[in-house]
Amino acid sequence: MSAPRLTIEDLSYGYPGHVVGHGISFTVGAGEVLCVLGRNGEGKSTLFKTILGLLRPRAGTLRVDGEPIAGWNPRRRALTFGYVPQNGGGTFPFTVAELVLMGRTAHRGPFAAPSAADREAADEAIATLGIGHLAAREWVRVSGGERQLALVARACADRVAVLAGGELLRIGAPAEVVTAETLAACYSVDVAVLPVADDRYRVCVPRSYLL
Amino acid sequence: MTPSSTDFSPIRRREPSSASGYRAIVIGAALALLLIVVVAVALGPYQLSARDLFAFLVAKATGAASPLPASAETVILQIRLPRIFAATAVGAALAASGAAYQSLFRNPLVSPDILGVSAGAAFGAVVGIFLSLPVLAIEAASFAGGLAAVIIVYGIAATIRGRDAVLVLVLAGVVIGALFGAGVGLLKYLADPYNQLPAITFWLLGSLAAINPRDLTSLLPAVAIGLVPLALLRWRIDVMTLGDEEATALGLDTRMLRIVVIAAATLMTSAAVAASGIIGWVGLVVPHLARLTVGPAFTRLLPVSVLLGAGYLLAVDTVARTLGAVELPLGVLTAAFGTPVFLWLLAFSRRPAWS
Repeated sequence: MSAPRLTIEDLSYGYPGHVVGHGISFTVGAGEVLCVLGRNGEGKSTLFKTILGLLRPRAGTLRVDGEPIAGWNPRRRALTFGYVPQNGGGTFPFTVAELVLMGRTAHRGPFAAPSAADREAADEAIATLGIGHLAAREWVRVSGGERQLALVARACADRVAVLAGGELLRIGAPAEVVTAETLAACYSVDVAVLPVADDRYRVCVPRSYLL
Repeated sequence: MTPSSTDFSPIRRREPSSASGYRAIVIGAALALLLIVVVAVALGPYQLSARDLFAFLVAKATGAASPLPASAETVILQIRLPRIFAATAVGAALAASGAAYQSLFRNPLVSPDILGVSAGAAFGAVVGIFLSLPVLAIEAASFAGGLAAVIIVYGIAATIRGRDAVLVLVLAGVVIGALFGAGVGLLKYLADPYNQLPAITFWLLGSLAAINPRDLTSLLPAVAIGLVPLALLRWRIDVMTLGDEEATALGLDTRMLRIVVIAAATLMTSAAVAASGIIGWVGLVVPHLARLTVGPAFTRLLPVSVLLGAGYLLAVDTVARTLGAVELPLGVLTAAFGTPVFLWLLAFSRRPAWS
């Protein structure tokens, strides 16, 4: 195994006055996919929000390539982590293409329009996830599984080092299952951390961490 | 999930990816605005024909002596054009700020009126009139009132958690708007009934009748200053519609962005309210309509909202001053037109502007 890229040491996480999980330690190396297993409500999403910096860790440290990420600003975090929220995407009828392009936000200045490189990265992510036929469709009008794929594409367009996922593998139809292989195919996504609600999916990824 | 191509919708949204469709809408809206401007210059107690206007334009462009009588020139330059500029600026400001509030608060049903901004700005301006302040100070007071209202409303919505956030936001806006309305009522009660009270009452109904060229020197810059950050931040405003958590995860400083956008939108709303009084519905209906035609992306939504808002308010203002012997209050007319349009959108739009 290569040197760990994401290192979590003795992490406690949760909300003010309510610790959801504690004593969490694991590392994820480059090119590795780690499944975080836990039943519904056991804190998978909360753990990811903590890794993303949306919640402050109650204790413990998070490092990327050995560097503690506690003081990182949202932009630096966004350039490091991609996020696939469970009920993301908002309520306005953006097209799938527009939504995926938003994954490139951190790559440009506050006033800049998306560059050709941004559009290329978004197109590539859409192609990787096989949702080219949905690109011009309104995001609010495609199926739940397709929405989730669009959000994965958005995270892939970010070309990030670590992908913290939502309920990726819970999606029903076989065509819509996002596998570790799909994620590995995403350009430069060399570490993926996926939450899974069910032990069954342990088989699809090489390593897992049980909450 | 029905495929969008089989929708029986009265409003056909063009494929968002087609740049030519967007261009056609922008050009169409701009031409419509130009047409309304021409009609607005011509109509009024002093009738001007299309030939008069053409002669006037040619004379101005070439520097030749104008063939029109001096009285006609005075009507055009001192009365009609200032009012046309004011109407377009107020319409554009209300529509643009409405579009910004809707994106920022992630709800297509919010508007400057619903969030209490208009009521706050009105209260500030009425305080200014009550204290007989100069025009610029009335505008500053109007801005402070509008900003105070939106901060209070947003603060309430942020404090009350665990319930439908949008519902709390709208209810807080209604409540705070009512509170500022009560403040306006108190000032009307206390005002001098011969000078101040008629001024306040007439102004509250919404009117551009009292506009003079000097008012434009504060209205136009305020609207321009408010539009600049919205135009510059148009791509980030789209990301803000995803909500705080996602926007932060995508790399935005959501706090800073929200402050800048709210300040810009509130500046425009307040400047509009200070110039024209309370003109409802424009900030709600126009961005909604714009979103149905060009989609939610702010880079398209903002220009189309500005053009439609300017054209709509100018058309309504022209009707207001030419329909009857006595000029009708503008706010009354926008409500009379806006309510049915909005209900029609609500009832028949199969392509929701949001889901």
